[in-house]
Amino acid sequence: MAIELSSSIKNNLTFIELSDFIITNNLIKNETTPFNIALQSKENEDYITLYDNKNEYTFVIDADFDKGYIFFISSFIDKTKINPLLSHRLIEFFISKTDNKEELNPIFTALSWTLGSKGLILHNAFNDFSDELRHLVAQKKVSINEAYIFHTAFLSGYDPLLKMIDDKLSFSTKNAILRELSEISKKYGTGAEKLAAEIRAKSTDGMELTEIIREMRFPFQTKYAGKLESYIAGLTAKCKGTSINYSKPLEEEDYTLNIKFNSRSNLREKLSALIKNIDSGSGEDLFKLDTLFKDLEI
Amino acid sequence: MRDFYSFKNVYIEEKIKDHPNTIKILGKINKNNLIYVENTNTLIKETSRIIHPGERSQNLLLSSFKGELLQKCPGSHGHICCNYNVINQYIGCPIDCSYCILQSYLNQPFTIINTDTDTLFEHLHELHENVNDCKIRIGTGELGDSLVYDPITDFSEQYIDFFGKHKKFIFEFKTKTNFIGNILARENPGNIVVGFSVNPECITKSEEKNSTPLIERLKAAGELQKKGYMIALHFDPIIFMENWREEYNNLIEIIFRYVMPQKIIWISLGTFRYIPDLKTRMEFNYPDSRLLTGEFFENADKKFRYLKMIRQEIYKTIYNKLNTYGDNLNIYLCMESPDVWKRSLGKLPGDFDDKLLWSNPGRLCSCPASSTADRDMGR
Repeated sequence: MAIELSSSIKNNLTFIELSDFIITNNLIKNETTPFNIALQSKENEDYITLYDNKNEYTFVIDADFDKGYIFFISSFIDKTKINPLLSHRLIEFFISKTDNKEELNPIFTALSWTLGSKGLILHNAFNDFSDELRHLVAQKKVSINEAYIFHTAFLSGYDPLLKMIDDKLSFSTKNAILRELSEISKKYGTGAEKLAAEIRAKSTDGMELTEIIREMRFPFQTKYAGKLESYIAGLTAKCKGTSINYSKPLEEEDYTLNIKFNSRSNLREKLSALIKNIDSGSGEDLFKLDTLFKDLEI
Repeated sequence: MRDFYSFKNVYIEEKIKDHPNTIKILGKINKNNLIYVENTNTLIKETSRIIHPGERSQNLLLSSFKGELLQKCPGSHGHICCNYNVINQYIGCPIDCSYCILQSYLNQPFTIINTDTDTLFEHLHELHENVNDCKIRIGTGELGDSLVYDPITDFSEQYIDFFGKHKKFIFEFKTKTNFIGNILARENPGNIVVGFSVNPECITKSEEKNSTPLIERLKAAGELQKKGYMIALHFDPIIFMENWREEYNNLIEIIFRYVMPQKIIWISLGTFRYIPDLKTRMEFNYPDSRLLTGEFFENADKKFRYLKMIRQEIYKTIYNKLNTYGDNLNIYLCMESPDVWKRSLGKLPGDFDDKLLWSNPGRLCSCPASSTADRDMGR
């Protein structure tokens, strides 16, 4: 079966139906062999042939390579299903064949890849990722952006850190962990091996990893928000349905008290318990920033 | 330092191709490829993309001013504003600072120099005639360095001549260079300020790639003072690093070896802050920078800042150190809340002496240029 996509018939094809069929049966499932898209050119003739690896379909596009390739991708690749590994290979193939290596935005756009110089940086870095990291990206378990930041922070030897990340953690948590590990390494100049050992010394439970790393990355936040949380927990003890909200960046002395109650006597009980808690404390007012941060040393 | 005046491509808007300023600039630069364009808006629209600042400065667009000629610095919601009005004479900067906000603001692949200064001055003259008896603070240091291209534009001469005749304005050149030749060649008309960004050498070397070394900047500041000019110092961004106290104390000691405290019109302090987009850009454009490894908290204005109590301590330390060189230094905080002002400096802008031109933001005058000041004060 062959379909000729000359400019005169392009408008008469039902691309969506054809695209779904091709993607489902060939390209996406067979992501490790994207080079089923091949370039054939006859002497002095300006057309390319793109065919799938089973050779069931052949597309002859009456255009130069750049336009033909991008036309093919735009028409037959479902951008919502494609994974970064296949995108990377399709871009690599394009770069290897195009004469205009300066202008890659059309292929990036066709594949929903990051545009501009950042897109090229990501593409080039992808080859240098460890197999483990590339696998995580291909499986869409971490974003390519975070993988890049992580890779550039450590460059190599970082697989032990990746293996510590529990697979059950969400996509965003995994990304946050990669980011925080990168920033810890950069800040303290700690290599991957040493950092992995430091974390293991604190806990080997993969699910606890998030808290441990967060504490290492944000020591002030962990310490002072934790101090305030404990203080609030003490004040609201035995007052079920009572909470105190505060400004998360710890900028303002501006707090809100919420009390859930169902009757006048219930409200009195809760207010009494709150007052009792306030009176029985050490007298220290941690709602005042100067008091909360009195041991801050910088 | 790289050659700022060699360009791969120079785009020239047809409308200003015969303007004397355009001709002068073309005579002073190294250029490979001249491209004339009818419509710069179309060019910008068609070519805009995410770009490394270093790439932007390799191409130049000589253009005419577009849109509002004088704009109010947007400030930041809930933070005190210093009433800075900006002229976008230059859009883009080759100094290549890792923390530069222009990475987020700009996406055109060329630096823009607006050459029709006559249009600008006509507008400013009209404004000057219609404002009350007040002072309006104006500068060109928002979307570019005020002096880095001065050796090819000589615009500083025109600015000094113009503002010298328009005394309701006070004009500030802001720079990380020592390109003051044109300014030194002119007599100071009294309302011209040259502001220098300062930071410890460990920061200028690692984060401000193509800037003039700190000592050279300070020498330039000293020369200007001797010539009768007032200078300004901008400690911005202040970086909270391991040995920050020592670094900034040393910096201040070095500064006053070269400049006279009594001839400093104002000093601004601002700790490093960023919007989320800038973080993304910095990570890709400057992967070696360590600035983002600090501990930042998202504030109500969506900017990330160091912990308030840390900022407060930094400001207090620098303020106290600066004050050992003179009681009358006019020191202000850039984009900080009234509470941080009070905690760090022990006062609000309105508590300063009247001689401080910007001292009472929002009440400087009722001219259009200052009409948004109340909003920026968070009132």
